[in-house]
Amino acid sequence: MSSGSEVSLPPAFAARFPERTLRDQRATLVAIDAHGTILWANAAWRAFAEANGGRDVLVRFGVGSSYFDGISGPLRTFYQQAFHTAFALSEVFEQEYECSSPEEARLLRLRALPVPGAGLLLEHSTVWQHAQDRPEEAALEARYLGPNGMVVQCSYCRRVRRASHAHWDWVPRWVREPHTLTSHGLCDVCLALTLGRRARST
Amino acid sequence: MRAKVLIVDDDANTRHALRTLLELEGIAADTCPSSLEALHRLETGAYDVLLTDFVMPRMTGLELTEAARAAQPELRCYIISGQSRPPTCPDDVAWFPKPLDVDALLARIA
Repeated sequence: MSSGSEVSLPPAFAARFPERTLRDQRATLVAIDAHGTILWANAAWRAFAEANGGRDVLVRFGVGSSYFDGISGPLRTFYQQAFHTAFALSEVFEQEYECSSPEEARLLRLRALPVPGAGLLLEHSTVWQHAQDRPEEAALEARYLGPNGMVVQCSYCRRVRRASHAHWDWVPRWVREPHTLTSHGLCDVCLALTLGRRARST
Repeated sequence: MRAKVLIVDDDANTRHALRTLLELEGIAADTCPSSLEALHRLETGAYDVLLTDFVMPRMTGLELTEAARAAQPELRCYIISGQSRPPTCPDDVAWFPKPLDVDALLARIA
């Protein structure tokens, strides 16, 4: 498996997108074939991967590996179908998605640009990005501690329910290390997902 | 004759999910939001299986299984939890981590 730094952009891609232009883009760019195998990646992709997962990420998800191996659960099937359709119909697939870390909140935009007969060029660009809020523990407890003195965290997505029951929020601090008085529950979205998936399979 | 299950969890969505998942498999189930209410239900209902959360206010799921077994020793007890299994949990109490492996749970109950 290669990190991609020494691999040239495949000719079919280079015929549409000048490689020098792609290499210098701030957006992360990955060329994949019709089956999702990574053929090439730019420097921004490698920098993002190293910053968020270390060099091991580039070994596991470098050139020659499957792009889809980095996607788990139902999202994997979703993107496989979306990319298959984009390639088959030669239509651009676009989507905004959250890609936050404990330190940074991010909204990214994905564009899958079809290259007929060769694959897709995937572009991930930043819509917005800012440091995660770091409220004091007491402020978090005031918002999330229920009347029984416990924090309810979804056991699937790990969002935390507000004491008002109105919302489930992503609380980065408690993803890494849950509150000492945490009861694990199920948020509304994961409840619907769990039951919907099971109902379809029975 | 299929087992009749009492589900105990302080989270309403989890109770709803577990009950629905069991009923999709043809397994009858009732639900309770607390351990104390569960002990009352166990006295009055004929249940084969107690399926309970671990971390709950006032009485944990493990304390509930101990109290329930004192009155009904043959009761099959399963605990579902996001916490790791404590060393004090008896071997004959099955422990299922959250997120739940639904197939594994159904295989044990059915």
